[in-house]
Amino acid sequence: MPVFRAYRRIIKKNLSQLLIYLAVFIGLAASLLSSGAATPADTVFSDAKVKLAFVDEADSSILTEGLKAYLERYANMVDVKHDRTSLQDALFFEDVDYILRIPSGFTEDFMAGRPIELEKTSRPASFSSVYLDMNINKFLNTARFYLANIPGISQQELVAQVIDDLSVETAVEIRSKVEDINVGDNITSFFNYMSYVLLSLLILGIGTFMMVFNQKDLRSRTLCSSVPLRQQNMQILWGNLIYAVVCWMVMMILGFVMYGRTMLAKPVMLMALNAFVFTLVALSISFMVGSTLNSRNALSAVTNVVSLGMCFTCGVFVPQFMLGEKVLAFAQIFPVYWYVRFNNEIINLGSIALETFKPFLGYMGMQLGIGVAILAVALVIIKQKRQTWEA
Amino acid sequence: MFTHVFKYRLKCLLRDKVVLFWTILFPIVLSTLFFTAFSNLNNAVSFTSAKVAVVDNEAYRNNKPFQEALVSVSEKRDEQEPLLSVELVSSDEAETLLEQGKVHGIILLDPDIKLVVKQSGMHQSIIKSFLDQYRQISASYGTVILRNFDIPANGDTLTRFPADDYLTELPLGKNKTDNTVTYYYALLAMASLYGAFWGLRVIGEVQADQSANGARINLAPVHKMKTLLAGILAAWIIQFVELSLLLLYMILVLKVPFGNQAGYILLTCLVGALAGLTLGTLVSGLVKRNLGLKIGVLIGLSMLMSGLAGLYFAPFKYIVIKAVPMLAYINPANLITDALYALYYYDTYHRFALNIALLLAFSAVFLLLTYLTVRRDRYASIPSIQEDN
Repeated sequence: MPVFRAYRRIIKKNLSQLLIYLAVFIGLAASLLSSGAATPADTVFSDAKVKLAFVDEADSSILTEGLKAYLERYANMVDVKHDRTSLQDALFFEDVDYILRIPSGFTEDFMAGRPIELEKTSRPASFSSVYLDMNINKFLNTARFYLANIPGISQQELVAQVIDDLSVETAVEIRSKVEDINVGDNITSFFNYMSYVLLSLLILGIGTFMMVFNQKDLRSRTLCSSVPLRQQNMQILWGNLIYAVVCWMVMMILGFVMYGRTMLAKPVMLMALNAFVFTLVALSISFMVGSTLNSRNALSAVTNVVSLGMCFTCGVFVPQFMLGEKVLAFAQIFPVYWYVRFNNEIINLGSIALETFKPFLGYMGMQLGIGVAILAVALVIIKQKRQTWEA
Repeated sequence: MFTHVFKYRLKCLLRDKVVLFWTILFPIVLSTLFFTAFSNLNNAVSFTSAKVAVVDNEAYRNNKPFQEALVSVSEKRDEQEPLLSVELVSSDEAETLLEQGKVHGIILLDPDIKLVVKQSGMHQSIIKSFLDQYRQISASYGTVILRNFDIPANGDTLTRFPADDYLTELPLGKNKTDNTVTYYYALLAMASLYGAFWGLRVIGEVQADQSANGARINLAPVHKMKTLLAGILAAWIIQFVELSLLLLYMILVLKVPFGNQAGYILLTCLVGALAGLTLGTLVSGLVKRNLGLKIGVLIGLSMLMSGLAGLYFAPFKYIVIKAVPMLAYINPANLITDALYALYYYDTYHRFALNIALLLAFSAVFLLLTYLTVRRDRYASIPSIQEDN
């Protein structure tokens, strides 16, 4: 199998370049893993928490300490240096969502019933801003209510009373259907990012190979060799397929290393199947790229533009729900869109039955359809190229 | 003579399509991708009303105060979205709406107020905070009435429960916080560092052992430093023009906010171009012969540096500054990003000036080291110059 052997040697020679992409992915995946493992589904309601920097410019009093203790329920206190630049940076890079500044003289003014004002800095009209505003005002309004109606109430008694009242909670019932463990967003991201690596690895690897084999002189030479054309093509096909499957397997092994038995969960196995379908589509994309391009420089340019382009618009790097409607509508022409949609939705599917699985077959079908269309275009291009040579 | 060499250096460089692609076209494509991906990002964190289904039963219809409270939070106040958007439905409908994800929670009076949700979350917490408040206010009234024996039981003489807003928004920076600008700034830094590829070419063409052109140019009776300087100047100009074009594209087409100090921003580009370029000349001078290795080192360096400056994940820039401040100050990509960030966000110019000064210092060091590595090279014989790089 001379063609096949040549294939292996070409891949080997370019291994270092391919490994760069793999290394980038492993780095990404590792940072994903460190950002939290699978968690059990919610069984108890917990209040959302906002990242808060509590800046008490006055000396702390019983009142401000009380406020701070109360806010622990709605916020995680973030320790930031209180100078302007540190606070600015922290807010900009989302280390804090909300900065609350208690001005000096606050406690005296408040206890005396004078109008007071607290300064806050947040991203305007964001969730955390609305949510914390509401709960801070609640505390102060309750305190005001007591001050007005119980003249002479001491600071200590006031805070105790307010906190006592505010500990009244509504009963919350959670209707969660997923009884088994929640596999989590983590593994979904892992599979979503995988599309970027698979695309890069395949376009680069197969592209390089095709380019070598399609060099005009080399191609002419192999065409007049004793190996029949049919067999040559079969060997090329096998080479490409095996390379693609190996890439897919490397990804799966990586998954096992990182997630262990979670990989055997039903939805995850289906994601693996989806990834396999995507690998085949990526193969046909690579085939087309490899048969149209003539220079290695162009190949690395196209690899980057195609893989980054699809992954950005289809919701790999930025989740689909955060993308604009127009972008998503456009992205449907790319296989990555359907691949990512499959992963995002299967993880939230309570039970997998034939009926509920139907749309997912559609998503895989879309990918395959696009793959076949691309392959058809590639074949036409190859034919035309050969005809121009022969002419 | 200098102008002659300069002119031809300029022409030669401009014909290098590969470097042109990586230094101008690729950043433009990438910034467009950023744009498509981020265009909706800020809307995603902005507040939207929490959607609730209220079960329309006996207990609800009899509870006038609760109905009033609901109305008060579902009306639009000022510019802001109302807290809740309420639907009054039957118990079965409510369950279906929740199941389909059309509402965040169900409020059920049974006759005590109860909240039914599918999971914890921001919207759900807002509904709960509202319900808590409703019950807490009743508790407060109860306590106050208990403690004032002399007032009538209906509480008419009490001061009513206030509904004041004590918080005033105080913006911290010059412009609004927008994390996504960091990505564009880091991208500009990456493009600046890609200028290193020009530096690589410039050195390759004055070193006799690195290319056939270099060998030929070394034979010419022109002082080597003159050729080198002409090359660096030509590359610097090209890179600066490219960065300016990228900047124009980002500002005019993608509408990325850069603040409005055009002069300072262009200065950042000029200095950033020099830093990237000299980094390239240095690497090219240090790593002899192997072109592939040089390119590898440069790509690796620029990916690493712009990554640390927040190109892949903006908060990373902040994490680096907090954890290893030193690393932030020796990373040219971060200095460029930070200079732009300081212009956009800070009201003072200290941080900007510091970044520019450091960039200039690095460029000077890179240039000096380049000079030391390439000067006075003499060759008895050059066994292998590969024609085809």
